[in-house]
This record gives sequence, C-alpha cells and structure tokens, in this order.
Amino acid sequence: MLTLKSDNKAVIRMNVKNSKQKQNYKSMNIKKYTAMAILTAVSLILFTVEAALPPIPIQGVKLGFSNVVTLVAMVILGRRESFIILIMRIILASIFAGSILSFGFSIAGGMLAFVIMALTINVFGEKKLWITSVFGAIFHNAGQLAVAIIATGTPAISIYAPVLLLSAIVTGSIIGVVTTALVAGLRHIVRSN
Amino acid sequence: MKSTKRIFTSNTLWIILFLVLAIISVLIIFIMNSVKTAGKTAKIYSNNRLVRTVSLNNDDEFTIENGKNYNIIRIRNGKISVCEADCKNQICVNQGEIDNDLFPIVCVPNRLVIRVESETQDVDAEI
Repeated sequence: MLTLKSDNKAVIRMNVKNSKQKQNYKSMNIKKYTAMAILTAVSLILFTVEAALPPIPIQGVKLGFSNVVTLVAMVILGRRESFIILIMRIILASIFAGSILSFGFSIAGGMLAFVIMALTINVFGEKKLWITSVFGAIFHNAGQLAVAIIATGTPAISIYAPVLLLSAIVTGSIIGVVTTALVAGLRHIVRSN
Repeated sequence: MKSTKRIFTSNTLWIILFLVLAIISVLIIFIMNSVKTAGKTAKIYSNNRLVRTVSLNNDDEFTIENGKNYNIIRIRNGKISVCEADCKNQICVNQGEIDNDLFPIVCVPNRLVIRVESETQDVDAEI
C-alpha cells in the first residue's frame, strides 16, 4: 500500500516534469517557427530589393543578398531549417516574379550552393563563415552556368566561367563578412529564456 | 592530424588560395580580351537552332520570336545588340553592343544566343 502510494506520487511528479518539458519544447518550437517565418520574409525582401537595383551589365553577376539569410539560418537554426527557408524563398520568388525557367535556374544554383555550404560549414566553423560563403557563391554560379548551357544548348557560353569565378570570390567574401556580423547580433532570437 | 586541420582551415591559406584563383581569372579575362577578333557576321541561335546569319555591315532591326517571347535585335555601325526583350532579367539588353567573338549575347529565359563570327573562323568554314 505504501509503496503503491509513493509510486503514484513518482508517476505524478514524472508527468508534471514531462509536461513542463513539453511546454518548454513547444515554446522552443514556436520560437523556431517564428524565426523561420521571419527569415523567409527577410530573404524574399532581399531578393526583391536586389532584383529592383540597377542590374550589373555582365552575364549572371550579382551580389546574392538572399544567401545571407541562408547562411544565418544555417548557423543559428540548423541546416534542415535553412533548407526549408531556401526552398520557400525560391518557390515564393518564382510565384511573385518569375517563370518556370527562372525557377529551374534558381533551384539549380541555390541547391548546389546549399549542399556545398552545408558540407563546408562543419569544416570551417562559424568563425570562418566567409570561406563557406565563397564556396557557396562559386558553386551557385557554376550551377547557373550549367543550367544556362543546357537551356541554350550553347557550350560556348562557358567563356563566362572566369568572370563568374572572379565575381563569386568577391561577392562571396562580402556576403560572408556581413553574415558573420549578423550572426553575432541575431543568435539570441532562438535561445530559450 | 590536428595541426594539418588547423593549416587547412586557416584564414591565410584560403585568402591566398582565393586571391590566386581571382588573379588567374583576371589574367584569363585579359588574355581573352587581347585575342578577341572583331567579326563582320553574326549568328543568331534560338531554342538551340541557328535561325539567322546576319551581316554587321548593314544597319538593321528585326525581331526573333521564340514561342510567346521575343527579342528585338539591332545592328548599327557594325555592332549588334538586343535593344528590347520581354525577358525578366533584361541581362541581354543591358549587355549592350558587341562586335567581337569574345562574349556572346545570351538571353537564357528566351533561349537566345548571338555570336559574332570572327574572320578566321569564316575562312575555316569556307575551306
């Protein structure tokens, strides 16, 4: 009888503990989802702003603002969350301002860059995000060039490769430095109280 | 093992590596710029097919259509350019005029490529 009572108590206590953990977990999840939603919106805004800026008159050269969000999300939320944000951004951007081809275009560059960054971020760590970012930029451009060659059926446009490599190194470094600064300021948004 | 990892992930190594890559690409661009040759004919490819060969000697303006999309091409003073297009990114329009075989004008959304043929290539083609 006595032992049963104490067992009951223990069970009740465990239940309480469990529900508390659950609540904690839930609030963590809500925080995470909110952060993901905000980051998706921010990356969409960056994408739109960049599209509205006066274009650079060189094939395929662009700054790649929205990569900042992918990288920040990868560091403060994780790779899976960052991947979801990237996919959402590409789909939404294609719906708002694009065609099927621009979707294929974005997804080839974006996916390749994401895979490379997800692999290299572990090697170089958070302190050296700029290296990860340059790798991402190089493979982003490589992916887009590949799609361009396939879409137009003209291998001759691979002559743009050195131009794209140079631009990837420059823009990747800039984006990487910006991201490092942002991560330091944004890390607290997913930390539980 | 640990020290090799430290060297591999050091900032200095990668700054040097990326700088070397950047310098190599600048050199390649310079070399390509010096070997480019002006041409007098341009070939226009649409949807992976050669649709038109034009001479750059005569000023002209015409439209190349690919399905619902179009690019208006202008030839002026021996140079060719896309002066209007309905593509989203307008890269082809912003690229401006070309008169050499270095960088072709490419409009990926409308699958259009304009290449200027250099004289040497023409001779080869005739042989």
